[in-house]
Amino acid sequence: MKNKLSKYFDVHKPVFWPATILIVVFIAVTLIVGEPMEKIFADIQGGLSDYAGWFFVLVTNLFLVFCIVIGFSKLGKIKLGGKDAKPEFSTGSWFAMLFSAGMGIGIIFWGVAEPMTHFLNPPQDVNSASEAAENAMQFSFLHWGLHAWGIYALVGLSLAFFAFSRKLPLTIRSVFYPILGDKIYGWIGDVIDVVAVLATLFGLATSLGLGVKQVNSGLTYLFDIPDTVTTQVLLIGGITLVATISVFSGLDKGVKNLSELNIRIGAIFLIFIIAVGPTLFIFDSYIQNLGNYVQNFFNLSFWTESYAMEGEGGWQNGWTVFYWAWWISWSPFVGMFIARVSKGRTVREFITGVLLVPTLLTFLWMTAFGGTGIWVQLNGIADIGPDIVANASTSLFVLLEQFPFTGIASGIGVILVINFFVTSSDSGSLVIDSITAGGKLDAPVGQRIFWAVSEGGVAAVLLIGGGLTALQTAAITTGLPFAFVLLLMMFSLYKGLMKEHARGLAEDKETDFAAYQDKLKNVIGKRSSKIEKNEEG
Amino acid sequence: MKNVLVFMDMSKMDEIVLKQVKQLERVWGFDKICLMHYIELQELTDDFSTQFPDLDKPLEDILEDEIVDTAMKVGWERDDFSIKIHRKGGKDDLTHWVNNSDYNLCVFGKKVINPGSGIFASKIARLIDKSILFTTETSRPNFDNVMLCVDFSSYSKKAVKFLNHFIPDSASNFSLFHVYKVPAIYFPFVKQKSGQLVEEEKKKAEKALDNFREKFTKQPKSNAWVEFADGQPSDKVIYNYARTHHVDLIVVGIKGKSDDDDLLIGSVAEKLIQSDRHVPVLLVQ
Repeated sequence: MKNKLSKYFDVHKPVFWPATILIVVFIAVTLIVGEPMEKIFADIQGGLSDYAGWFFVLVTNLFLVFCIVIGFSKLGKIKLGGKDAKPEFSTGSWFAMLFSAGMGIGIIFWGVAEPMTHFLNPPQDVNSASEAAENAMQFSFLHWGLHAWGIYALVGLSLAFFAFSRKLPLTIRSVFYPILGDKIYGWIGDVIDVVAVLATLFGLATSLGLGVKQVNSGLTYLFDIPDTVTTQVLLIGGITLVATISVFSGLDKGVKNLSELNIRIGAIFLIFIIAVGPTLFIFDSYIQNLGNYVQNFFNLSFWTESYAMEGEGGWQNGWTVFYWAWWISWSPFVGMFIARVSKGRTVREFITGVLLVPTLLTFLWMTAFGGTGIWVQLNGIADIGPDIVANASTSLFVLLEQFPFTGIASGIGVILVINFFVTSSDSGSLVIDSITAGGKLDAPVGQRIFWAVSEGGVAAVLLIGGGLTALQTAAITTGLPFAFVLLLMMFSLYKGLMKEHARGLAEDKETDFAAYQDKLKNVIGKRSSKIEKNEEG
Repeated sequence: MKNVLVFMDMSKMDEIVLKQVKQLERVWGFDKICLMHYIELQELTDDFSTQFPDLDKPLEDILEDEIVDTAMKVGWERDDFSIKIHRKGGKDDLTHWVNNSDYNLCVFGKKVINPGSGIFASKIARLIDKSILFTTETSRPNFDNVMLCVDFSSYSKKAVKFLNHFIPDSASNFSLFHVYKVPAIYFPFVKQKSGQLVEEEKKKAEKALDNFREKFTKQPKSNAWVEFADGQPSDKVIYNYARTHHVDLIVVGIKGKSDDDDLLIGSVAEKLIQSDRHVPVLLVQ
């Protein structure tokens, strides 16, 4: 019986059970409390972002600065996987994979909605519409740019370093080896992994929830299916089922192909909007937005909305703080992915690649979709603003309506989101699975299905319990404790890299091979003469 | 658990090391001893294989035989020890293997007179995170007087724990040693290291060492000495004291108070294991 079960379940119990129980309790409480839960979520979100907002702003800056400093110090020369490690993927395909890490449900959901919303409700004081547009793009860049990737780079680098160079299991606790030593295998390690699992799961559920809202809006647009929570829950059920079946039937390769297909569709989609949209405007504004981002980088990164009038403010809580928490909470997910493709890269290559490649792509996406939205509004071609502000998940489809091939493009948009849902759910469960199985990579399929179903379940419950607010609350609540884990991680990674650097210097000392060879000859010679003597005797 | 991994370098030194380990086993008692040799040449060069075209056994087996011969020669029994010849994967693999094994003490022979650079030992010592004993060929096969150098850092506590675990209660004469200095900050104000100041610092040091002894050691009656550095580096004071007081083994933490991440071995430990020092040293991780 036990053997039969372990064919499907091979878990590290002290991580698996606490994580599972906490999730089940969360789901149960939300469902039992019902309606009032929405207010509770809103209160938690409000409270946490009021009091911890500055903290999130501070630590994300810290993580980014840390990554840049590490990457360009003497530690940058350290190779992930040891001195002789060769990169598993060519630089070209490595870039492609980093690109794909940057693509996801979030960017499709917010690509149009975010710049448009900022444009219509400028977060900072602006004097003209064009200033509002610039400001909107800057904030969108801030949220999706270097800071997000600084967080992922920190987690990814830590995981890659300790898994490949120190040969520890590929799980979050391993990162704390320099601080905790063998205690990472004890209860402290278990606690760290439980926090990581919860953060990843809720971060992922936030993405899935956003994705399904958008799928729903798309279907409403195309087929007039009602846009309600019930539909969304049904959709989650359906899509999770498809994802589960594909995992269960051993269609791992299928999922891989699916995600490659996804990137291609995404690329075509991007090219499509650049082609049918205001092409010249998109290129023009891409350059200008990049310049503005660089110019206002420090101002924006450290802006905490401190001087807003009493009772005004609150803008940042819903946006910047939410994003920082969201990125932090699902950093194990992205981090694990970029770690696994980066063996054999130097720290410097890693930091440069991870910070720049996905960032530039995301900026292009934001400019192409959000910028085009602003262009439509700014030039009075159509008044799409009110619809977008009323329901962010319709934004993509509202925009596409302004351009040719609306039906096909919207259809592709829906397929893209569903596709991302399936692949995120699948790879997300792989990550959580690996953490709850103590770092094993090939844990049994049964477990992955369990986690895929849990992610879907949590996303559904969050939608029932309070829609978008609940999703944001989930990200912020799990992001906060994990931010502390990341702070420690920074310290630990620094210690580990310093030691690796010293080891590298020690290893470089010349070995006297000639002397050693003489010694071996001596031993063999002695033996030969012994054999001869025996033969003579 | 007292599992010992002895590194053999296939030279004359091996006999001396084995004699000393045998002696140490008699006083300390070990659970498991493994004699280990690491083949440094990843691929044997052409020159080597042409010279010995018809080896009837793999090199590993020949080396194993040689180690057995050496061990027998100095009076070991065959079932006293196991043998491990490590070949694959380079030093990285070797250190990974050692670090993940259940051996908690590694022994290296440190050459003072016999030819050989000893680079291998000092390199591996930096890479592994186990406690390491460096013996010298000039030391007597005798470990009666053990001296632990204490600087009150967390490493000193680890070192004393290690000794409590490894040394049976009545086995060795165990003493604590601390080098004290007069903080440099005083000098501009006091002009000279007045005798009174040194005396005060000495009292403080003695008290701290007494506390340390009572708190951490199993042998509360063990000796505790403090010595004034008087401008000399700590390692020199320790070494001179050990030479003049018939200390058979100096024990230090692998690092000390200034726990720098980019140092694998602290400066005092580093100097004590230099090739021209004659007293065996145990570095505790």
